[in-house]
Amino acid sequence: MLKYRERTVKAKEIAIHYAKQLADENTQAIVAGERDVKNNDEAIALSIFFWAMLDQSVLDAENGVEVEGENNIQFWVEKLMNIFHGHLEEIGYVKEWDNVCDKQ
Amino acid sequence: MEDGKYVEQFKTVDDIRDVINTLIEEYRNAKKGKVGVLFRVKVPPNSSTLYKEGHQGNFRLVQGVRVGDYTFDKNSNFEWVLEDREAGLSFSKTFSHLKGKQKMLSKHAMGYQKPGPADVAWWILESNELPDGMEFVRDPDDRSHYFLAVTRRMHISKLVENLKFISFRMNLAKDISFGV
Repeated sequence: MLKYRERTVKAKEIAIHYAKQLADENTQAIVAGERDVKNNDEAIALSIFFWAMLDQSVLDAENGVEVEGENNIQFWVEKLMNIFHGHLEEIGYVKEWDNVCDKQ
Repeated sequence: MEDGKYVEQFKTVDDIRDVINTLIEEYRNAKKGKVGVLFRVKVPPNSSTLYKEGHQGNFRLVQGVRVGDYTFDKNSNFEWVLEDREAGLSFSKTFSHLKGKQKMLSKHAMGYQKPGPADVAWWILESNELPDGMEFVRDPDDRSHYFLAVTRRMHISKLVENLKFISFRMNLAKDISFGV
């Protein structure tokens, strides 16, 4: 499952915030670390969510929107890339991440 | 002149896939399986290791260093940088990680949905020794990602000197997707 450390709790809060806006319930649970990615489709859905979150976070930053009390969302979204990529690589779904990345 | 030499150019990051994978292979073998080369994405006009005012995103900048990339002693008025093995400039160990980082930084480089160039720089570990008090440390969240960490408390002027030293010794591939 996606793991967040004491230092990355804010990343988790921001990811959950965007997942509620941009992802289905299944992906929301994966993002929250409540369940793990179980197949290719779920790995693809998580990867697609990352890029949607990036786009929305840049728009929010430009509009001066604070998310979970943070105005430097970019810092946390960069951390989330490492958290998502690191986990997908560890559990054998880096190809799914790469394929979604190629379509951006 | 803060940056190293441009030795390649590319229109998409896939254009330099072979260059990157050859470097990884060559230096992994040389170091018997250890990390031999690390890659960093930089958005011009920033250098490979230091940012220019107005091009650092929502970060406070101290002499070209983003507060957030390094951990400052707040009681020192941002004069001293603390030892922190889980902070530092981002480096990629694999093509997969690098590709994601390059896409991420290029996609909105000039603002929302305004893409721009994002160059790729690399540091060959066996050819260069890092300055004292600095180390590449693996990110506990991603084995393909490393921090260029400060491992001994240092003055900001020393960190800037070190980052310039590192930047000057990196080779680069220029992103020409948006013109030369």
